[in-house]
Amino acid sequence: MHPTILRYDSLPSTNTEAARQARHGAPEGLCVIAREQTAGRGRRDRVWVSPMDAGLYFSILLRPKMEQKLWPLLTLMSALAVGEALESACSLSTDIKWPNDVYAGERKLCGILAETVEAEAGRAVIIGIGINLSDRAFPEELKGIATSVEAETGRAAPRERLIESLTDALLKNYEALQRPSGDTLMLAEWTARSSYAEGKRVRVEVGEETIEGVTRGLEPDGALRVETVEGEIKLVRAGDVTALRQT
Amino acid sequence: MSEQATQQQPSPDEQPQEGARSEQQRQGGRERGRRRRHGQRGPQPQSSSASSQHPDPSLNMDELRDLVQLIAEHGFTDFELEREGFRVRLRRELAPQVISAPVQPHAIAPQEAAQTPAAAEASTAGSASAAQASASHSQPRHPGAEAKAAASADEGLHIITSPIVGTFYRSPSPTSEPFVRIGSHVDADSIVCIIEAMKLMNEIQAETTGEVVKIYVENGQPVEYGQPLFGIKQ
Repeated sequence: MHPTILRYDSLPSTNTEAARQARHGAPEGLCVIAREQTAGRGRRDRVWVSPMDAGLYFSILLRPKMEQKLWPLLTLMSALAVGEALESACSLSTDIKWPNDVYAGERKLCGILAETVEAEAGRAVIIGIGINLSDRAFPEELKGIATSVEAETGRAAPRERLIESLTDALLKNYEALQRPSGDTLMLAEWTARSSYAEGKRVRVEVGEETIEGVTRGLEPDGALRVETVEGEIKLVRAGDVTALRQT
Repeated sequence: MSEQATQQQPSPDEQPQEGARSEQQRQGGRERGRRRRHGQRGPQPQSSSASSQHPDPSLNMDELRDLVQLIAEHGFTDFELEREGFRVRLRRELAPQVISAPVQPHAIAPQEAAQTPAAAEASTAGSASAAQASASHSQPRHPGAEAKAAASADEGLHIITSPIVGTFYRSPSPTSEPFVRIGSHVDADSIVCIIEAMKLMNEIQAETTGEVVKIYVENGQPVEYGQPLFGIKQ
């Protein structure tokens, strides 16, 4: 599969545009990139601040052949691809916070929002990736918990090289995921790359409920296993995970 | 200071590489496997000597069905049987253990459905009445079977079920209107809800034309694979 890249100076949201293209029958591999987003979105319509040239605002359209119940693995696969791209284009090592936030040190560098689209041409999935290239990408008050490629590497982010690496890594991982045993291999890779996979003390907030415990690997569908103080294993498929101080 | 700023990163050397499977084995899957085998064949070491007594290490459908029944009766959630060159693992998730949404009062309809081996059996039993009979008599402890039976008891309705395990949302965002309400008219392309899993937001379509007459799950609740979500009067 070869990517087709559509570039825009400004869009409300690259995910929204990619979804529109999907509804019009665009083939998989279509990438939408904008220099700024005027209505960048995060999970459940949280705002993703997207000033001009401060971040990489990128969406890719995929039409997976695998069973739909395995589609959530695409978000873990995408986080791996972002990590590989940052490593190869910027020599930057990163961590993955379950399921798909990419961190440098203890601060967030990249967020991923994936959405399915139902259309006559068939069901598609849009994976939206926002990478902070410079500290202008996020509001001042997030400085303690957010970071950027520029801040981490001490030089301007190589935007074009990063786009190329990201596209390559996404397509390579996507094709690998759909091969036999691709899901198991991807989960093993994720487990090796994320400090959150095993033995991390975490708090998970899901709606009004909070659980605390130690991570115990992933389920085959990508759910995070968390062992509570009582020794019970909870399976987490949604919610916000926060690392706690190690004891 | 946020918690994130104080966490310690384990060094790569310390980072465990093992995945979910070995953890599940530590959880007792193998123990249960042994226990089952002991119960059936008397004490034997779990080793290749056990498998040498089974020229064909696989299970036929009847044996598998017996196994499912037995572990369901004993309330096991995880069972693993290993013989040389053959392994079977059965697992069922009890809804209260699956933390993917706030637990709210169950105000609407059977929503505790869990995909259990028993539920899978019931749903393939051939007819709605068979499923119901097995749910109400021989498998009373399996809410998944009950939910399916309850949904199928809403005669003539088209039931929209969940294609994945995740969290059910009735609206595109917390502040927006629900996609559909009781009485809404839908057609095949209508989006009726979103199910989130691992931060993938799945739009679910009605895939039929009609009127929404039942909503089986509350906003923000966890749902299982195959769980009824909406009843549509066609």
